[in-house]
Amino acid sequence: MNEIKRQLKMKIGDTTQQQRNVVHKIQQLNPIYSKKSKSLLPAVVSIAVFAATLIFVFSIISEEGIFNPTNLTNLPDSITMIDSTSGELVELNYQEYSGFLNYISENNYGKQEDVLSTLKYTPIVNELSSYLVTFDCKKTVCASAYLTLDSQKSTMAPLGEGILTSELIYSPNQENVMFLLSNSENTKQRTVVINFEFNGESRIPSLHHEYFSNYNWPITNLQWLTDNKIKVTVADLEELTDVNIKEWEQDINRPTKTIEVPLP
Amino acid sequence: MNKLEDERFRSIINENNDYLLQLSYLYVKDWNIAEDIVQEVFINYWVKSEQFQAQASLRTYLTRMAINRCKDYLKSWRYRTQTLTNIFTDIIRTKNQLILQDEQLIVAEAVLSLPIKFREVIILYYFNELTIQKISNTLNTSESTIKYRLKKAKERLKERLSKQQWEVFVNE
Repeated sequence: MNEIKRQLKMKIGDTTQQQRNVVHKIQQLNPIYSKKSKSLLPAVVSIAVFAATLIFVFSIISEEGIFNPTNLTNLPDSITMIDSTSGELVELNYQEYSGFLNYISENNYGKQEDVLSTLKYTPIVNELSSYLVTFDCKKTVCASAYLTLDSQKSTMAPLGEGILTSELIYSPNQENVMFLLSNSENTKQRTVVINFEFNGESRIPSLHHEYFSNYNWPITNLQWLTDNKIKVTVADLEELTDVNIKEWEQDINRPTKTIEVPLP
Repeated sequence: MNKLEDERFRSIINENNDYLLQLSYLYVKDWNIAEDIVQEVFINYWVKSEQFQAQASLRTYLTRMAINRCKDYLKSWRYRTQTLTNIFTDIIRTKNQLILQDEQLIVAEAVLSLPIKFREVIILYYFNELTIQKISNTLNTSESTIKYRLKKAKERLKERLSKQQWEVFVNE
């Protein structure tokens, strides 16, 4: 990968949430949009423009709200997060936890008090102090992030919403970790591959990105073939409808296919 | 929309959503706007899909629609007004250290600070890895113009980056 592409990819980061927002916006318009009702198009466009204007105006108002000092006060100097399996505690200072807190607030993933009181982690085995961090958002699926703590500079890579449903699988050279996140129904998964070297940048290939960027398929297994290639085992389905996925789940054989994915 | 059409539309969204979002963001540098643009592209494609000519690939067609909308936005009053408010947003982000990785993304920042006609050729050539011919086709501009803009864009980047950073870039 060339340096420009690498840096722009880092700048962009994980677009899972943005993709979800686009789908949500389309779903909101979908009942109105129909090929048979093209005459409604000008009206819908006008409504959309009006709505966009309102959103724009209110976004300015809400941005001003961020300056309100009450948002930044009453935050503790440090909080603790707990290893959900061993019960071990790790203390985070304001600089270390505020990035995650802002990420959750900005994306409406949960409440500030829930982040502060229910932060939990899964430790990542590497030479850094890295953690897979999440919290109890009071919903089936909560957002998580890859957090690396360093005395000089801590970094956070957002991972969007999802439930960790696999083990952490390390690459042969131990420089990457891979795992599965599941949707709220635990019917579809997406693959996450984190590279430790580039501040936790997710390795999302252009080819086969559909197994990484969204919850599309049931994924049953992940395996490292080399440090730069993985094998993904997915449900062998022609059409990805909810009905087909349900039938596949009830099938004793659960037919699968494997795809080899070269990583960027 | 019947079930089959709905599935087809959904699969087109799944296949192109991430690609178009990344591209649009690099043009408009604002996620909310990029989301709106991509949503509009999909809806527009759906409404006008009968007009879609199969001579061009679907991705090229959607890319062209997204680029045109991004450029429309960059010319609009909304963009000019928003630019002012983004100054404040940047301050907040720095303060909260939300994007801690930014400090190291000097080349990316230099690319994003280029004027749009130079930025877009760098994005399409280096980020989307399109050939000159494909860029020319997508932007409906001659190949010689694309080559000229690419040359000028690289000159501008060279001016903005230190010697060391520039060498990393040109050695690839």
